[in-house]
Amino acid sequence: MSPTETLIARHPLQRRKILKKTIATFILPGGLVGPFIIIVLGSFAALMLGVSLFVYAIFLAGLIVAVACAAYYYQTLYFNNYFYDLTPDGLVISKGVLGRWAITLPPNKVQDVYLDQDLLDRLFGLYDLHLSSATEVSAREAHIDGVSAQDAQALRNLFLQWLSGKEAGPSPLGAPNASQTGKSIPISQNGTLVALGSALLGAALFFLFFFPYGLLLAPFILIFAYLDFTARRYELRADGVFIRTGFFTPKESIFLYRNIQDVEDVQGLLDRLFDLHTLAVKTMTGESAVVSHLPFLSSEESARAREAIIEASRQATVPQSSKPAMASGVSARAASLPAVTKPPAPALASPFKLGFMRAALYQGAWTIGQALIVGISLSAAVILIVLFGADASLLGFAGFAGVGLGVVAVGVAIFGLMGAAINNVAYSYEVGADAVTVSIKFISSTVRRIPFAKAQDIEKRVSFSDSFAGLAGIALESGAKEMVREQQVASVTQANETIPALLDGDAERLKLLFAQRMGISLAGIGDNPLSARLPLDSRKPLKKTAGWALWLAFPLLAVAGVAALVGFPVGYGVLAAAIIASGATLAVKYWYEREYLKKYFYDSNDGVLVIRKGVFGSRELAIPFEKIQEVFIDRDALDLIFGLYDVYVSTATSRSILNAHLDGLDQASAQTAAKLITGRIAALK
Amino acid sequence: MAGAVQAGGMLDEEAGSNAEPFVPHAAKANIAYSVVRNFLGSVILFPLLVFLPLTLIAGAWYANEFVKRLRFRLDGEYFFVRQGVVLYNYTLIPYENVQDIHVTQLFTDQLLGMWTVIVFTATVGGGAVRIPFLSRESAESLKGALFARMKEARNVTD
Repeated sequence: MSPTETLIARHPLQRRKILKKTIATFILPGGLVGPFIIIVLGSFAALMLGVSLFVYAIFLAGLIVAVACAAYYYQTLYFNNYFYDLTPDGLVISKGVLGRWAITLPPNKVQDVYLDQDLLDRLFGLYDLHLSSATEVSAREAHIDGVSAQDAQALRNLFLQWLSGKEAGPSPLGAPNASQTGKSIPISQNGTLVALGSALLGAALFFLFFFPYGLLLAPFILIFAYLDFTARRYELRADGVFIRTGFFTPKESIFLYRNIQDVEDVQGLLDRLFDLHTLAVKTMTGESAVVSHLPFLSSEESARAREAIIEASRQATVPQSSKPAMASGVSARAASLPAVTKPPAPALASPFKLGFMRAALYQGAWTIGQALIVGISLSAAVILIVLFGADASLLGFAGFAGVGLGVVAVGVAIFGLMGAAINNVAYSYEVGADAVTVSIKFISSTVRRIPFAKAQDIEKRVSFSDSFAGLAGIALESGAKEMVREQQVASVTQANETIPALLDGDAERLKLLFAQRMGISLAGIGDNPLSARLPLDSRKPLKKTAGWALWLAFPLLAVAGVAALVGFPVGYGVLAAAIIASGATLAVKYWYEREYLKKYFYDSNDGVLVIRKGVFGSRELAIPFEKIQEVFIDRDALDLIFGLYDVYVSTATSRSILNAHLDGLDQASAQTAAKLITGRIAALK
Repeated sequence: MAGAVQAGGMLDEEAGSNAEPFVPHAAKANIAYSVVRNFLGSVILFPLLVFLPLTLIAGAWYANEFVKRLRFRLDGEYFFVRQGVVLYNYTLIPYENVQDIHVTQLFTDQLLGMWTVIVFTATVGGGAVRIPFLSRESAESLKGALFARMKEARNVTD
């Protein structure tokens, strides 16, 4: 074996991949529905046109042969163009016929490794190997598709060795390494009942609504569910958490310890009845949000596995010898802090009291207030319209709507108070030495542990009602991708990264505590703020108001058109009301934007950029410079007219892209701000 | 129905009660022809004739201006890209934050021998900058230079 031999030469794609892909050409575009439609509808159309079915069958056969030949030829070219190798820069995978796509993936950016088979792969004995970085596109493109079982295993072992730094580049394959097997995490036998019951219930609901006779398939569904359940396997391996799922379409995933951003323990109502837990080990990849779950664990095994994963993740985060920690979300500086500068810190269980009831009271009052404002505005508009000659019965309708609105608002406020009462008993948090743990335990339970080393930013959030209540929330975001397909899961995971309803002073203290344990300092912030040295341009309120004016112009023009058709007095009355309302709205908007400008605050020290904004309530983000992914300067059409620029910083979290920007600088200030930020990032190297 | 064929609907009144309750085939053909002609002329051909050249000219102008105004350079601390024609945006990516680098060529690029380098970061929502219209050599050279800077930044691939 030559040392210069490429990876694809050593572990080649199988030629049967060409045939498999050719068959997939006929199946994938519409499943089996597409060919069925072509055959049935085509036959029907042929009969309508007076063409015999025999002729149509010959035509169809010819068409199928032609498409198959073309597909086979295309897949042969695709196969011939496929290339992968380990280079000094990283893993290179290149493919494509009509277009070419080559990805180069450096080893320390790889987050997860996947090995899977679809049904056709199983028939042909082929395997797909995926590597994923924190970018969504990498999961799709860093993909070696169609190797034999032996080569798939060998490639995965080689990649795991390469990722662990044991091999920096191409080298002959050795014996299977330690990462090939690991300590098994037992799956609870209670899981069998839950898995089978869930499958049966899901199928029953589906078939009852859509196809009652489908219930006859229940025995098969149970068999499939059982086989799928028995195929599950979890292991703690040397490099990461190994998860195997799927009997018919198996998938093996490895989530490297060094990239695990946080660990979550979820227990639904059914899980509680059967003493089951689901662990989620989250990395920064979108794929991990979907498949990084370990369901059907007993309480004991779940706790044991969680602690082992957290410990392995913590150890993997600490840089070994001179090799820095991974740039992808794990800062070398923060990671090294526990060993170098940070003394052991005590774990603090709920160190500050949470005022859920106080928050709910103010929120409820605000909800009722909003209903009042809407009701009064609606009544005023209706009275105006009636004065201009509309039917007086409108007043009755408006009154009825107002009462309905009030009832809904009071109902929402009462639900809010009930939620607060539940939160008082369900919510708890603990600030540990190296992680914060948030627990919400009621009917279902979720326990989330976010290591400080993985936190991307600290957010202090004051809602409108909280600003009157003197409350604030503090949130840490790890950058782990959330499973947004199920809104419920997404909302839970957002809730359990936030410590809400703190008294403002306590929120400040908790922010400082988090910063201290993250290894960053907020000292000097606000002494001579950047927002005073590089202020936002005073034209910003005008620009923002002009934007609203443009949007308001469209409905106003529509109202004017209707008014011209309806005529005096009703049409013009409505138009007058619309103009007055628009003028008032713009005046309020301008005032709001001036206040917003006055309160816009940003500053930095050597390690942190802080941005705070908001008029009623506020959002403050403290972003360590080492977590900033990129800096960009942008401007829209109105910015162009007003000569303004926006400076954005982004991290691996969704909050930063929404809130971390300096919006409305002049050109010189924008350049200075961007250079200051990049300079601070560089200084931390 | 020969008259109907020649004169279209005009003779329907003369035919009185014997008139067929539908328009003759030839008239249908006329209507269909008219519809197709008008459709082709007004809906497809006219916009094509007018707007396609305009679109092509505008597209060519935009692409030309885009290339003329595109700036990218490897600064000491970050990869700098300026893109845009009327509205510019500027991106500064610290080298250690580059996640993966893609060199791509779409079908149309292949015809013209052009390549695009895409540099990805971990920014949520697919943070990436694209440097289009490069030759193969330039694309590979840019990729190599970026990796060299990444190694300097954090010694990442040793």
